[in-house]
Order: sequence, then C-alpha cells, then structure tokens
Amino acid sequence: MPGLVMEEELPDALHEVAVKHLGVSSAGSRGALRADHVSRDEAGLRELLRTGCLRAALNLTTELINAAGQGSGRIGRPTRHTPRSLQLWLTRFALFVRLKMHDVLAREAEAFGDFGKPDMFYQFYPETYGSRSGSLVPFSLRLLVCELPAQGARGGLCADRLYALRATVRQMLANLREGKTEDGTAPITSEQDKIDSIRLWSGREIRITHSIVNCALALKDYRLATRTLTSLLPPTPELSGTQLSATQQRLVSSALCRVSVQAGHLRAAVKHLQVATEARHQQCPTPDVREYVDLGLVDVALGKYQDAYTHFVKAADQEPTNIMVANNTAVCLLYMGRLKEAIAVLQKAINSDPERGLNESLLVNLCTLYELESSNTNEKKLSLLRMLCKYKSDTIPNVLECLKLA
Amino acid sequence: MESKEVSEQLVALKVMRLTKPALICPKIVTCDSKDLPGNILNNFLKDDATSVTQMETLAAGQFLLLPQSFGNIYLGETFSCYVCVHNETNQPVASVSIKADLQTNSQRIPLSTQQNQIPVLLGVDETLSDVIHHEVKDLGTHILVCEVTYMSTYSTLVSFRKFFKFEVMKPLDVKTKFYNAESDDVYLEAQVQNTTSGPITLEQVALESSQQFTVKSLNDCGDDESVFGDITLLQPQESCQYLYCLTPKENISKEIKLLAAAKNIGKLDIVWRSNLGEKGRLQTSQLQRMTPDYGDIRLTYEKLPNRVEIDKAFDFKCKIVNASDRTLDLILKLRSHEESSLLWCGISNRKLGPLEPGASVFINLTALPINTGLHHITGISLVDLFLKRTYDYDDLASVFVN
Repeated sequence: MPGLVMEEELPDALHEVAVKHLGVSSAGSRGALRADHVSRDEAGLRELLRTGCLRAALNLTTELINAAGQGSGRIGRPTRHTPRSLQLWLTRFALFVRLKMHDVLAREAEAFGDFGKPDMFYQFYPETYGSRSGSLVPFSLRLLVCELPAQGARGGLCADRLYALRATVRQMLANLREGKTEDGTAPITSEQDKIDSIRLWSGREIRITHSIVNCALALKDYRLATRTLTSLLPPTPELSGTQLSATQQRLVSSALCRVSVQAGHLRAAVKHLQVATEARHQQCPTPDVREYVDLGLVDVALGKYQDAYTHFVKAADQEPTNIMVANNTAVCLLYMGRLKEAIAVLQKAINSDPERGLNESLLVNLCTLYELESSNTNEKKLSLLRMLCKYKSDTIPNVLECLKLA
Repeated sequence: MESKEVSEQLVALKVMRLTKPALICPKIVTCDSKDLPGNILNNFLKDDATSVTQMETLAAGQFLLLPQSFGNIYLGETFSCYVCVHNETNQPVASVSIKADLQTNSQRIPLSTQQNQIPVLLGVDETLSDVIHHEVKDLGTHILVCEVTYMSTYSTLVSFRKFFKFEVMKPLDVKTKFYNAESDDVYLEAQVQNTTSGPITLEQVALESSQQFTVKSLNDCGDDESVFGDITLLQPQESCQYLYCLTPKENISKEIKLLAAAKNIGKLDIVWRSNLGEKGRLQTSQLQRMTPDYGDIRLTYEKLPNRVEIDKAFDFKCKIVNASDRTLDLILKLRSHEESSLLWCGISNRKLGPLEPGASVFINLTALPINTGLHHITGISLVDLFLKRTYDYDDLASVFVN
C-alpha cells in the first residue's frame, strides 16, 4: 500500500544553476525543452532517462504513479499492484539513488516492507491473472530496496536482508538443478528453460554477492568485504587453467587488492596483485591498464607517488583517452608538488572527451585544485559549467557542491 | 583549510592538507533488460569514468578522489600539506617567499624547505608551492603558521600570516601485563586498542628488548604467518593481544642480583595503516616490570617430569641460590606428610655446606608416587642454621601421576 511522499516538481538542477550563474541566454534550454516534449508514458520516461534528464524523469514517474492510484496520501490505503506500477516504482527509486535523495527514498520504500504482503503476489488477483502464482516484484526492485540502508550509510541491516535474498536465490538454483521449477513445486519440462533459468539466477546470485561486498565497503567492514569477495574466486582444480576462470581470478584478485589498499593492509594488497598478475599471464604477456592502475594504487598507499605516477603514465600510454587514468595521474602530480601540471592533465582529459570527462568526481577534483591554486577560481568554474550545459544533462545530484560554487 | 581572512594582498596563500585520497565508484543501480529502464541505467554505469571495467557492479573502485575535508590527525601520523602562493595581480611580484612553522604546546618547529625561503620573482598567474611533511610527536593543539613575504608596489617588503589550528589525538591505547616465570623468562602481554574513528591495520607490533633480555615473539605460527590470520584489522575500539617471551641474557641470569635489578624490558614499536595506507608509527616508553622478590633463598626445580607412573620412583633436581648478602649454612629437610601422595626417598636433614652470596647448589631428589592424580610437591624445607629460621616450599610445582 505505497504512496508518494514527494510530489513537488523538481526543476532541472543544471539549468537552474546555469541561469543563476551564466544568465538565461547562456544557459540554453535543451533539457527543459525535452522534458516538455516527450510523451507522458513509459516511452517518454525512457527517453528522458536516456538523455540524462533525471529530474524530469522523476517528475514523470510522479505523474504516472499518481495516475495509477498510488499517489500522495495513498500510503496505507488499499491499492492494486500491477507489474506496470511496480516498474514505475523501480524507475523512480533508481532515480532517487542516482540523485542521492536517500531520505525521501527510504520513506517511500518503507510502505513496501519486504515485499511479502499478500497483494504483492499474482494469486491475490485471480480475476486478472487466473491461476498464475508467484511474486509481482521485479528482482531489480527487490535488490534496490535491500541495499537501501547502505545507500544511506546507516547500518548493518542491509547485509542481513541481502543474505536472506541470496538464500532464496540459492534455494531456487538448487530446485532448478534438481530438475524442478524455481519454486520447487513441479518438474521443469524444457531442458532449454532449465539452462536459461540457471544462467539467469546464477547471474543474480553474483549480483547480490556484489551488493553484500558493496554494503560491507560502505560500512568500512573490510573483513566482511574480503571474505565475501574471496568466495567469488573461481573454484580451482577442475576449472583452473581455463580462459574463463583466469579472467574471473584476475577480476576478483584485482578487486581484493583494492579492498586491501583501502583497509591499509598493504602486504595483502601486494599478494592479491601478484595473483592477479599470474592470472593475467595466461591471457597476455604484458601488463595492461588494469594492472598498471592497481600497481599505481598500491604505490599511492605506500606513499611512493613518483612510482605511482610512473605506473599511471604507462597506463595512459596504452589508453591515452582513459579518464580514470588521467585523473589518477593528476592526483599523483598534486602529491608530488606539481599542482599546475595536475590541473593541466585534468583539463586536457575533459577537453578530449567531454561526455565522459565531465564526470562529477573528476570535476570535484579539478575544482579542489583550482581552489588550491588561486583565489580567482570563479571564471574557471563557470567555464566548466558552460561545458556541462553544452555536453551534459541533468545527471549530477548537486551541481553547486560539485563545482564548489558559492 | 579554514583560516581567518586577510586583507587584500598581491599574492594569495592557499593551504590544503594532503591526507590520502579516497577510492570511489559510481552509484550502482542496475536493471534487467526487460525492466522499464531497460539497459539505460546499466549503460550509465558502464560509461561512467569512475566504474571499473567488467566489474561495474562492485564498489571496489580505481578512481582517486582528493580529500574533501581536513579529517582527523593522530599522534605518530605524518602531517602533510600543500602550501601554495599565487600571484593574483597582472604584474610580476618580486621577492616572494614562504615560511611555515608548526606551533605545538611546547615548541615551534620550522617546516618549510630551505629553497622556498629564498625570495623569487613570481610572474603573472605563477605559483610558488611547497609540500611539507612533519611526523606528529605531540598531542593536543597544533597551529600551522604560514608566513608569506613579498615586495609591495611601494618597493617595501610586506608579509602576512595565516594560521591553521588542529588537534592531534591519541590513536592507540596500549595496556601491558607482565608475568615472571619460574624459569626466569618474562612474558609480556600487550593489548593494542584502536581508539581512532576508523578501521586500522596493524602492520607491525614489535618488541625491541632492552640489553638485558632477548625477545621471542609468540604471535606467529611459523612461516611468518600471524596468529591473527591474514587480517590484522581493527575496527574502532577493537583490540588485539600480543604475547612476547623475554629471556634474560646469560650474564644476567646467572647472577641473581643482576636478575633482580633487570627491570627494563624494552619498547613496543607499533606501525599501523588506516585509510588508503595512511601510515602511523608509535614507540612506547621503556616498559618496566615488577621484579620478583627472591628473599634470602631462591629454590627452583629442574628436570622435573610432567607425568610419572604410580609406584615408580622418579628423580629430579632442586636448585638453591643464595640471594642474601651473607654466607648461608643450610640443612635440607624432607618430610612425607600423612596424606601426601608422594613419599620422599633419601636422606633428610642433609647439611648443604656453606653457600656464598650469589652461589648456587644442585641437589638430586627422588620421590615415590603412591596415588594417582595431580599432586603438589610438598614437604621440602630449608633451615638456616645461623638465624634458626625454617623456609617451607610446598607449592612450587606439581606432577601428574598415572
């Protein structure tokens, strides 16, 4: 029995900031125009999403959910759930996460509980779905709501909910492997269905495990993160040596290396990196960007900024347009006392690929450097704002904070 | 960094504390392709410069984010900061120099590198910068004082200062306990507690023994592997217990006076790392043990078996050391109590002859166990013939009889 908590229309945040700081004429009206011209349905919603008009998309979910009878004041009142209404909620909640609107998200999600209420099942609506049974709730929505406490960085509840979700998925996989349907009530008839279902649910199991790691990282519980990640390493002996397991070994070991770096456990970081390197040898003879970056990050942790810089530069030689590599090179340069060069690297990265380069975190880094360099930063920040207006839409949760504009 | 505003100057001074950067990742939201948003959100994630290729749904990022706040600073960490002077005018400014000092409760420490104290000409939009490092060795209030000097438009040297105040906090709480063993070994138990606000990894906890002892760490299970397993990570308020065995060096252990005077154990040297490898190091002051009081005579057993068979006599040795300042004339008495489970074999009231101060004598003893179980060795006493004083030794050791 959910309902809207936030109903007011959100303005295009980028446009608003641009009007205030650049004036109406320079701000342009791309986003605002588009928001008014899409159809007021799912297709329009997808169009707004695709073009990055996130707040306009959010406004449209408000409109559509209202029309579906689950608008404001409907919390606690009986309503009809449909696969369509739940997809609208999923889209809305995903937008809240991207826009970091955690409080209102938590309040709107509360009414759904753990999705165990009778009206969340097909059986509740026999007149519509006949004898169909099972939950109406899309997996993505379930997972998103399980992750909530971590998104708001509030506590350990999130891991408990994720474990429960994973246990259910594992039970379904066990049923499938025994030749039954997911819920274990009937034998599965088609072999192809079985293979497809196992593939789908195995993928979801891994996705949930990733969420558990993410939740642990958000709480800085590096022990849990490490233990959970370790469970994702490929099962040796029978699979080892295959191309697939080498890839998996590499990806997981590289992630373990970075978790250890964050925890300050550098001996472990070096060890994981060696394992990743060995796995890489099975695929290609020379280090690639991922490896150089991990090597650089370990050096940053060790305080060897010169060595880290060398590694990042090698990575940049292989992928000159890689934004992350350019960013890490610039960070190193600052710690080496080379502020001007750091700024130049970041500016070049933005100019060479504005679509990707105008990344929220990269802008935070660049504006931090601007502020350290001089007091006259306003013009530089405004030129970034102009570029944002030109190349990006309303995707950054807080433009003022990101550009450090007063 | 916060600071009081200063009036219009030709150059601007900016200071940023260089704590370690953070590793960040995008907001991770994914959908199935049949969901309403389709693959749009998944593609956002793939295209995001902060996500890790092929591991987009995992938050172990590769993208470095510069520190966005001053953060906490703890004793033993290195305070690093970037000091930057920028020419804010459209003309060159001459004779620019930076001087940075750190004022603690007790002293003022110069921090700037020599080369930045030599005045330079700063062209338009040019900067003069310095990265300074200082290992923090005091608790409490610290003030970073930055002074910039330059030639004003009236060709006079002017200078201005900025102050940055911060508190240095205590990172660890170390509690120690000592156990003096019969064998003259000393066991040190050290409890290291994380009192910072975030998790830390203890990279090294080593005991550097004083000259009187050799130290053996009991915290590895061979092959350099820690008893704590792979992760010596402490969440806030958690603690870890370390154990060390200290053996007095030979020249100390054979002289009971020196042994009694060996109070200095050594120092604990602790290295930890926190967020992204931020390093800290602390050394405790000299740890001191309470030495045991040996009195006039010290009696210890040697070569005593742990386990003996019933109804079979067993042998062991007894060492007697004269810990007093005078020569002792002693008699050894062996009594088998009525309820005692061990019967002494051999001669009681044996005269041990004169024993010089510091000298020792070994005596062979034989006992016969007559009951099973764990039994104290009782009934040994020494009589000092000069003072007519009797010393009883009833609870020094036990044997298990089966």
